[in-house]
Amino acid sequence: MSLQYNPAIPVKTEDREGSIALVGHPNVGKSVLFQKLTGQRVIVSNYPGTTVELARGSLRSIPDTILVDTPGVITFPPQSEDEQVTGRVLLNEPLKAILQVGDAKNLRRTLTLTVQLAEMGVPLILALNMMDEAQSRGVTLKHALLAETLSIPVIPTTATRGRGLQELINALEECCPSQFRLIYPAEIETAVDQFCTQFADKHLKNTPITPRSLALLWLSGDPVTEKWMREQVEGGTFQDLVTLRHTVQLSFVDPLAQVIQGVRLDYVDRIVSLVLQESGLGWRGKSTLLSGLTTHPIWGWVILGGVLYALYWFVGVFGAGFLVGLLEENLFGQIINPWVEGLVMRFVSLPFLADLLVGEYGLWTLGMTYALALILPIVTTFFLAFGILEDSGYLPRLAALSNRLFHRLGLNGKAVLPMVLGLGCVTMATLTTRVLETRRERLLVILLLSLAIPCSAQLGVIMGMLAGVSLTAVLIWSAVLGVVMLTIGWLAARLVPGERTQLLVELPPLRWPVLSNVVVKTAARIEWYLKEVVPIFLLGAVFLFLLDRTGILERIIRVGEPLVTGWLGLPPEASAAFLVGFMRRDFGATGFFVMQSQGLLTPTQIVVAMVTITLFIPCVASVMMIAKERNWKTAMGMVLMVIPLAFFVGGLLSRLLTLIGWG
Amino acid sequence: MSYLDIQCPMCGQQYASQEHQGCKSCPVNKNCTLVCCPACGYQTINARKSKFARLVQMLFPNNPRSDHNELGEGGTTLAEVPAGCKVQVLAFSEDFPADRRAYLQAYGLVPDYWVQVLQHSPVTIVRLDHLELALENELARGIKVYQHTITQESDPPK
Repeated sequence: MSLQYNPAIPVKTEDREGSIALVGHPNVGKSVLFQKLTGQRVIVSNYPGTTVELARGSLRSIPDTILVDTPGVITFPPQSEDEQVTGRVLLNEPLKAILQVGDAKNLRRTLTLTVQLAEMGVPLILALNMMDEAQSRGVTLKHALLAETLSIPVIPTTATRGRGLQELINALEECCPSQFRLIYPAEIETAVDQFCTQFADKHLKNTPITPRSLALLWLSGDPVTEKWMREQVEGGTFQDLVTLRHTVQLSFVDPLAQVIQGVRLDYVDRIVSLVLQESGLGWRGKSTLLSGLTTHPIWGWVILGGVLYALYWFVGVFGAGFLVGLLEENLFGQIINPWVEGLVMRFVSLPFLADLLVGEYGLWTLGMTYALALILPIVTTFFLAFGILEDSGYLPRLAALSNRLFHRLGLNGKAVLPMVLGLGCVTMATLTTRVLETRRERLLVILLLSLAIPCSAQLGVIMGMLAGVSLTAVLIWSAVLGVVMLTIGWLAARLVPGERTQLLVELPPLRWPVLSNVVVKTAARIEWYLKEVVPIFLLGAVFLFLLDRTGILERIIRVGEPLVTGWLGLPPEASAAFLVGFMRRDFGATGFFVMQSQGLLTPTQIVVAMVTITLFIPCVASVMMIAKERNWKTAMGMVLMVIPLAFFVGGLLSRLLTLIGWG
Repeated sequence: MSYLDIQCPMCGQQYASQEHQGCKSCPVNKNCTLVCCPACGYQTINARKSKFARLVQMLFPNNPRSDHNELGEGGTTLAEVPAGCKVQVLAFSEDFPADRRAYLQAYGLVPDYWVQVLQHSPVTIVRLDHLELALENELARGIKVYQHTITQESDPPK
């Protein structure tokens, strides 16, 4: 096993065609670097899997050059869907360079990926990021020697503080194709040669990477390469390649991917021993102690209880209680709405139009007031709290802590990431299921998200309403949801075919959240949220207004009476809340909020209504996202399963509470 | 080599719970929470066999989990290495999932490499270089380690 290297002549980056791919392990600062280099803001957090889609932006310093931020990849062949997105970029995107972002303190792991990327033959620049953390742990790197050994530019950076960025830009402006080449065992080398000879000048023009690197990916069983090759070559040739791989495999006991990676690791170990120096400061301090406590079998749950209580207080009591009261009753109820109503009455002479604007189901009085006075303070407080949690690095620890619970649901602790994110917005969380490794796990988590995870807006309204009844009401609601989620999850895990994957997750260091990042991230999320919510709320208001005006609403209420009044035991007006609940669950919940404030609901009815609306289908946007991520059949299947279940559970609860005389 | 998990309060001898001849042959040994020192015969309580003591012990994060603390003669997997110890990886079991193995390999957890076990419950957490990995105990049971390399020192022997 040895290294071959032929120096190449540097070429100006702007003279070449294509974009620059930002590639690296999860949670090493790719998105921060993307922001610094392009000026475009993307969501950045301290947990793996924040980026699940590609983000593109123009490089500020190099004209006509697009930088592509890719999801973190641990190794090639990629395992999860988000990692495969990165694999597809490297295969399909015309690339003028790859910018690898690596964790300076974990050099061995970083270089294992560097070697794989260098073999691809595309110009490669390595940004050794988080140098500040490396230095604080006594890690010193001879980066010049590393650059010389690998024959690629190696730039030490601390992206969060903007250090090393100018050197990085200089390196990006002028870099040459990587000539890096490792020598593998003879059987593999022969197979690689056969692969390259077969496809030289024929089919491989559409990819920026070298045929040799493609051959290694093929032999390693990379699913992305396999799919790509299937599209590129004819059936017979494809079968020949499969046979070639099988034949080579017969020469080894271990899988080929492992043999190939073993050669790379040996090489990396040699380089690391040359360029890495450690003072032995290592892991010390309060953050290490706290890190241990957050995953401790007892203290971990105590800390989680504290986190949930803080979340409840901040979002439920402060956001949904104090801020909503301030905005809805004082600002909108006493100042803005009377002023708007006066304005409309003065300038709009048509009663129909005036009613559409400020009537019972008016665009302003219902749509805008719900969106701005009720939902906005709740989502703002939730996203602030969530941003702090994300940046602290607590979420992967929660995955480790909750692994046993998810084991019972046929999942592993990693499922907690989309579930917690679902408390913010189910639509976003559905997209985040890509961090899960198998189709089965993604399907199970999407089902649970659709069924029993309320989004922040809905959660805030629910908490505000139930807190107004009693703590027992909150506990009943939580218990019913817990039982439904565990039962359905347990059943689904047994019905959906496939094996569960075992938990393996990296725990990033616990860090103090950076205030500016949390605030800016919250602002970006609020903008995203309002863009989605306001049009739907306005549409919902028009929808209800028209139904009311045409008398259809009254008929629907009458038709829905056996279900809403007879089965659920709610007032007939609740039909309207369920009707808009089809658009958004939080819109429906807000309808109940207004009914409660008008004194139309008893404590039992409030609990039943909240359980039913929580289990109700998620919003239209979520259903569309499920269809996009899976397919329409799955999306419709979930909708058809969830609605009857929500009413069934609500009705049962109503009877049970009446039976025991609660409320 | 057996892992010496008990220190005699009387004579200071370190011994394994099964080391005393009397304990080995005793018919009620399985559920007995008492152990005798093989050097002086002093009888003491084996807190590691008491469920309540184990529960109380878990309140103290730096104390290793008792049920993982006792390395039997065949105890050579990562799951059996006491928390806080460093150990050298020997190999992966034959039925170890290939995808998980690829991930561990990418993180640098490969044969002959040193890792430090931080805890075993609710999942096994190991530290290698400046990286912490949480892996399910079932995976930890599939990673064989060199038993003689288990060490409490902060740095592995060179």
